Amino acid sequence: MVCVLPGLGREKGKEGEERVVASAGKMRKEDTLKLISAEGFEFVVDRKAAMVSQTIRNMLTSPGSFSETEHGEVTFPEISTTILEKICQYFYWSLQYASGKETEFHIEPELTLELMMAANYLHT
Amino acid sequence: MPVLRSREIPPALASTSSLKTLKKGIFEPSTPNKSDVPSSKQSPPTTNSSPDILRLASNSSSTRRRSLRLASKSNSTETAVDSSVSRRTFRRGTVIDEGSPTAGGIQGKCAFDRDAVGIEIVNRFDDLVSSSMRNRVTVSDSIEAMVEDCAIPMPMEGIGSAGDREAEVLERMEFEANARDIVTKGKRKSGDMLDLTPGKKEHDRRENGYLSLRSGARIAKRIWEGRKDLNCDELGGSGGDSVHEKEVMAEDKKRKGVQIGESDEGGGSKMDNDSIVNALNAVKGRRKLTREEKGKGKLVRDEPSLKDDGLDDLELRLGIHIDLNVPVETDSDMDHGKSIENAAMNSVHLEVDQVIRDDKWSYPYIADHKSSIRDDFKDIARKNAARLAHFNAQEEEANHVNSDAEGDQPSEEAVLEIEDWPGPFSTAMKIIKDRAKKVYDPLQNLSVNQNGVASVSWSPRKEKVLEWQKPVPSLQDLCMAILAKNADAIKSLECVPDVIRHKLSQMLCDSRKMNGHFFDLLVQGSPSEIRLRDCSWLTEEQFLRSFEGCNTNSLTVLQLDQCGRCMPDYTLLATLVRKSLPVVTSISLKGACRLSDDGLSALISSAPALRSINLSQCSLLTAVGISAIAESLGSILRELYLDDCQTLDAMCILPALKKLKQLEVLSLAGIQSVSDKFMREFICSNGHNMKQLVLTNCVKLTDFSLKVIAETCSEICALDLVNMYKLTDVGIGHLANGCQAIRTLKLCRNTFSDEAIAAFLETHGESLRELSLNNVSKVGHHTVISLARCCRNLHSLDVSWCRNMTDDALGLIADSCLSLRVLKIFGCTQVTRKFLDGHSNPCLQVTGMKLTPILEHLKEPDFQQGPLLYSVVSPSSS
Repeated sequence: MVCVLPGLGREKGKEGEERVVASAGKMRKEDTLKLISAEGFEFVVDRKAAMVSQTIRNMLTSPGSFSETEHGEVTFPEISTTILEKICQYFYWSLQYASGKETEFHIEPELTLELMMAANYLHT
Repeated sequence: MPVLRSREIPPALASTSSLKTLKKGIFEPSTPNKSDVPSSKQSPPTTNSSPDILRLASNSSSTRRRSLRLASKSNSTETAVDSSVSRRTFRRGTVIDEGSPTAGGIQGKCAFDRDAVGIEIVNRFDDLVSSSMRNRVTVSDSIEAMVEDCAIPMPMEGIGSAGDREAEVLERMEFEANARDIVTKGKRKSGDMLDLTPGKKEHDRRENGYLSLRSGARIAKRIWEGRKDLNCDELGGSGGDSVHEKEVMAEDKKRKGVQIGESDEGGGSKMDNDSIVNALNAVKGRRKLTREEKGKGKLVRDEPSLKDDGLDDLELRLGIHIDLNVPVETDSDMDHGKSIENAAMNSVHLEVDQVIRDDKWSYPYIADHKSSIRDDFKDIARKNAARLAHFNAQEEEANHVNSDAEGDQPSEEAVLEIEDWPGPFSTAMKIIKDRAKKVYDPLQNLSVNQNGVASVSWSPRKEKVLEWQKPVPSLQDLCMAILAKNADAIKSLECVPDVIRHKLSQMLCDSRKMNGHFFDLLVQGSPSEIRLRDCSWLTEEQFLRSFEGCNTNSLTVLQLDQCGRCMPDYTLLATLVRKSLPVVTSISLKGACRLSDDGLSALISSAPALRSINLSQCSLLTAVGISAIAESLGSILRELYLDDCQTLDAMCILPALKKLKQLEVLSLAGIQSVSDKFMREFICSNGHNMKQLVLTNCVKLTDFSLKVIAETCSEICALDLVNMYKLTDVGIGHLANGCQAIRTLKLCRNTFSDEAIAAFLETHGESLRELSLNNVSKVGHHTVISLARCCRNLHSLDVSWCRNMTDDALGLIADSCLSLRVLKIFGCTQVTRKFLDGHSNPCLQVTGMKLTPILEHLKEPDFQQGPLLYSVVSPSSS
């Protein structure tokens, strides 16, 4: 299952798979990063957005070569899909906030604890 | 029955103005302006004016009293009334002549043709006297106020330039110098005051301390200084504390001895007095008219019927004080002098106004001056300064003879040179001094502007960088906020890492939302760390209940701060001791005020792996408890915090502390009994391992302790010297020559000089991570330059209340110290947006200015670090 998230559009993909399509234009592979949740969901996000997370940023920019850097995908076996999705939403919200558009980022209370732990891990 | 002296009333110097002010009901002391001066030549005001004034005075005495005080506070220049002053003094004499310190008696004396001011003074004196019985402080305060109001700081232009004036004053003084016992005493007092007021700030502070604290006794004492047969009690409220008196006596005598000749009588004023007075006045900028004293003395002299010598002196003093109002302007000075001389003719003089000024006055060189007058002036000056300066407890303490055992040796050593050879500190000092000599050094951004004041030049950034404007809230913070709001809905904290638990509990404690439910969540199961910085809400029952479900087998850190309410001995025994804490490495029971030595011993025995224990503010602990710690944990304890345990005596716990061979962190903040001797012995035995020493508020320590620390504690990383006012630049020199690894230095309210701090930074700036110069007010451009040059690794800097830090200085620091993340500038109102918007350091967080977040400066504990600050606990050790 591939979820591409810049625009947060959703549509039902083939065979019942959920597919989140980019509503923005075409995205090149070099600009994107794939984040894979515990259940195997893949979230394709901008590299710039992913860099909001200090952990991912260190991974990508450190002088050694992480396999993640080479393949452009990072796996998070401890983070569930809903949480990872929320995190990706946070990445884009953060970019938006920094560019001046300050809105509120709503978090469902039941997600909060897990989201908190994931955010702590991702240092974001 | 007062004896009216047949004295001419001196020409009124702007008597009308004084009338005016009186009528307004507000008395504003002021210096006579030029227009007033000529009026001194006028005929003296008729006596009928006086009764009016008198009535006015009596009517609005309270108002005037208050206003006098207020007026004196404001440096207003009001026309001085020579004659009024003189009249006042004159009347004072007569009033006091009565010899009865009662309010009634004195008040009765008011019925003279005195100007209102004088009456005012007397009224105030009345109050003072009458209330003295009740409230010594009031007496002193009123005396002070009176004195201050009456004091006449004379403008000073500098010693050299006042030759003419000196001559004049000399003349005046001579004229007045009908030396009589009382007069002499008065003079001595004035001289004393003279010495003091212009003198060093410490002097003033000391004096002020005396004045303000032991007000009644002190003031009375001073007034009657020199008198063998002091009878302070008669004045009411002035007597009393013999200790104080002795101190004052000693102090005054010492001062007098030092500064003034012992000359008593004599027709002429003494040169030495003048020179000393001049010098002192030059320093402080006040001119005391000694002639008035003399005149005053003469006044008193004529009244042998005075019963109470003290009263004489007081009167003398007060009179003198009144005499000391002086105009500011030079010209008027001269004229004023003349007018004064005229007034002196009648042995009454001076303006009423008294302006207390801190800035430089032109000082007429008083060539000839009696020591007694000098004393009087000294007293007056002292009183004046008292109102302006604030009592510095430390200064006062510093003046007391320190008879501690460590006094002899450490003080000697401290006085000695820091080093026999040019060590790093002296080299650095030399660099600093050379740097100061250079007028302009572009490389170092140091320049001397047209006023000759060296300043830092720095130009702010031109363009604004927008992304710094608002930091994006992190996801963790957002989540934390929601969690804190909904803490009650949290079902379980299982699998939640410790860091998050700690952050959450801290947020809840800070917002007072912590409750039993969350406490349950924290302690249930097998937590590895429990950190609660505020357990004041926790009751014994709740604690017992919740702790039942706690499996302590994996608990390594237990922090239950402010647990006084819930931690008496029996609860401790029922919970912590009963469950035993096999692997606990760090326990913090700050504020466990019900914990006794027995409880502590039991706790220690149940926690064999303990390496860090925080027993701050445990007020029931004694040396027995500390010995118990030393017995069981002597070989493994690394950190010991005993802040504010007032019942502990440093020397008693010294043997126990010596047994803690592995001690790395010792905090003795607030324990007053820590002395140089203690430090010497402790450091010599345990200093090699010490990494952090917190000596906040251990005020007895001197530079000697710093020397010992610097020489022995080679690994020291953090040093806390807050509020230790006895430390001087010598101490900083010692530190600069040792302590190679120092990373955190906390100074607050110390009296180090700019150059010394700069020299220290030159030598140790590379290793510094945290520096606090809070309220080290002398810090200035030297320190700034050194910070910018040497402190590359500085993370956190606190320059709150350092008023010499300009925008440019801070900008230079911010742009040069690239690691700087936190800058605290509380109380630096001189900093403007030029710095805040202009610095180029993107990561810098500035706190302490009006629009910056202020709570973030509170040091957040770093939860990512282990239980010990400087060591790592190996899991296998026990």
